[in-house]
Amino acid sequence: MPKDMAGISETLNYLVGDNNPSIIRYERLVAEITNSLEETTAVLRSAKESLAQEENRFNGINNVLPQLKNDLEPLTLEKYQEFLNLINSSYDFSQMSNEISEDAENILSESESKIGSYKSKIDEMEVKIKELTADLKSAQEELMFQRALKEKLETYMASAKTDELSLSKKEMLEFLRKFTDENGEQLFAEDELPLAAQMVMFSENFDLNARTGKTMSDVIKEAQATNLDEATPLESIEEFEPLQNIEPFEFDRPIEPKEEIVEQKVPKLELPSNISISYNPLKEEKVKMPIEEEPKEEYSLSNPYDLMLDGTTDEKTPEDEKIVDFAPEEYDLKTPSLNEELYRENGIDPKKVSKVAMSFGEEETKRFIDNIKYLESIGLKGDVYKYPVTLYTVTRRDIEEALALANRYGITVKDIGDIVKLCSSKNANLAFSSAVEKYGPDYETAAKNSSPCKIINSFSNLKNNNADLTEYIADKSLLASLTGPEPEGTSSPAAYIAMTGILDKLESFSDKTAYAYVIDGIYFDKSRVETNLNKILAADPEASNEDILLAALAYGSNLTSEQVKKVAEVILPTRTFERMAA
Amino acid sequence: MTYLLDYDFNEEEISEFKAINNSFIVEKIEEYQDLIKKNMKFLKDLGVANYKEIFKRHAEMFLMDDDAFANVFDKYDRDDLVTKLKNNPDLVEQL
Repeated sequence: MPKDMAGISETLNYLVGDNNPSIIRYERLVAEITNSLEETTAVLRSAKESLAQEENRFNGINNVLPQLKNDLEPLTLEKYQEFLNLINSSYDFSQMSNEISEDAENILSESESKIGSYKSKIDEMEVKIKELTADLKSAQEELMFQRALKEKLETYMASAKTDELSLSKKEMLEFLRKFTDENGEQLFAEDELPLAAQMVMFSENFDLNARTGKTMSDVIKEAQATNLDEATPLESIEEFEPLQNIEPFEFDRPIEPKEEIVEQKVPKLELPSNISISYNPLKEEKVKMPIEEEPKEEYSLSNPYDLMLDGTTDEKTPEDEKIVDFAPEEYDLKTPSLNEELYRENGIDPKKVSKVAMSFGEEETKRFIDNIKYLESIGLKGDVYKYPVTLYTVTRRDIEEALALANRYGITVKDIGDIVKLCSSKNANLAFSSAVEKYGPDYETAAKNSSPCKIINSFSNLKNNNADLTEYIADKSLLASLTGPEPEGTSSPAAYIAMTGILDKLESFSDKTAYAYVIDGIYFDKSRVETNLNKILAADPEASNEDILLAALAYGSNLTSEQVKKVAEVILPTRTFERMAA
Repeated sequence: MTYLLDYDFNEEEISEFKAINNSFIVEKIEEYQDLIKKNMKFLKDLGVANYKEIFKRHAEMFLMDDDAFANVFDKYDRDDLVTKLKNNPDLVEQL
């Protein structure tokens, strides 16, 4: 073997030998792959088995489904039909409709029955109310009668001496028989005389007790003891017919609880001395009985309604309480609720009315409503709720006078506030007349468009300010009337600063006066004021400080040439104006 | 009306107020002190420095219910209102 072949052989042996690392690695790799393939094959086999099983199940289901479908279809329709049948059997709609109609009819009939019942109750109540009204009428008449009688007796007692009180019954009846009504007929019928005498005795007893400290019983006892009375002294009340057996008086029309009506119903009685008495029970205080000395009567004068309503007892029933509510003394026309009604009746929301205004009574409230209606009728508007006193206090005449005052001085009244100010100011006339006196017709002309409020407020400050301010007050009103509204784009603080600066230069006017000018509504732009000032000073280096300031005001504001001229005519010396105009 | 002394009024101003206004106004101002104080305090707290001037010129407004009185002023921007009232106290009539 050639040497090379030997080498090759050796190399080949090495390559294929057991010790070749590459072969070893290769074999190991092949073994790993083989194992992996085996595992994969096992998994695939398992998956195939599972798939086959699932396929079998699927095929089984597929086989069952048509059958299930065939089975279920009739079943569902059948159940549905059964369900419908069940509904129809459970809810018979026609029957339900009938039942509902029946129920409705029952309810209707029940309601009608109840309405009928209510109507009958209302009828009963109306009857009761009528009865009650009749009782009340009777009671009121009875009360008037008794009080009129008492009044007469008081007059009689006042003119009689104490020893004249021991009238016999006969004398008393004779005395009462003399009373005549307006037609000259006997006031008390014969069968009424005992009652009248009884009442006289009550009244006598009361008054006697008040004046002498003695009761009528005492007087009677004294009379009996001294045998002074040849006839029978006044009988005790038990001898008289009980009051409840007396027929009540009949009246032809209902009595309203109003003062004037009650007054009309009171008969005019005449005493023997020809004294005519007109008694108004509305103004009468309740009569109180003497306390322990008085015998216990079945009825009492302490509350006149006791006599008429229950006759024999002082206990009050609810009906009594209602009637007492109608008693004249209970009428309080100044209750807030009544005011609220007044406001509502006139289209005013009471909630807007202040507590101060609400404290006024009916009369003032009516005046307020009348006043604002009047002010609206003449074209004046404003927030009336800002004036919770004046419009309640002043009359329409006051307002008319205020308007006349403004008219006299040529002042335009712009709103309700102006009128309120005129009416509430003590010195409105003084303020206007002072202005006219001081400034003459020109002032009147100039102030035509000024608010009275403004003028009065200005003059109200006269006493507290110096002469400069006095000047200002008059002049500013004039200027304000001419300058009109505040020009747009101006700033009042800037104007104040500008004006203060000017005044500092002038060294004549106080800051107070400058401020007063500014707040008057004459506003300036700072730069414009300064420019104008320079112009004025250039035009008239000798102008007085006041001229300069007033010229600045006129020149710097948005005045028209006519207005400037007018300002100049009234305020500025002609020379200054002419120079300015030039 | 001495209660006004607590609000920086002096005797002369109070006398002047009485002299200028009719008695029915003065009486109510006297009667409703608490209300006046509330409304005066409201203006003062609002920052209206010249509240005295406003009161002197438009006292009757101070007899409005305090809530209504406050509503008159609350509708406006505070700073703007205070500035304008400072320049023109009579502006309260237009509010």
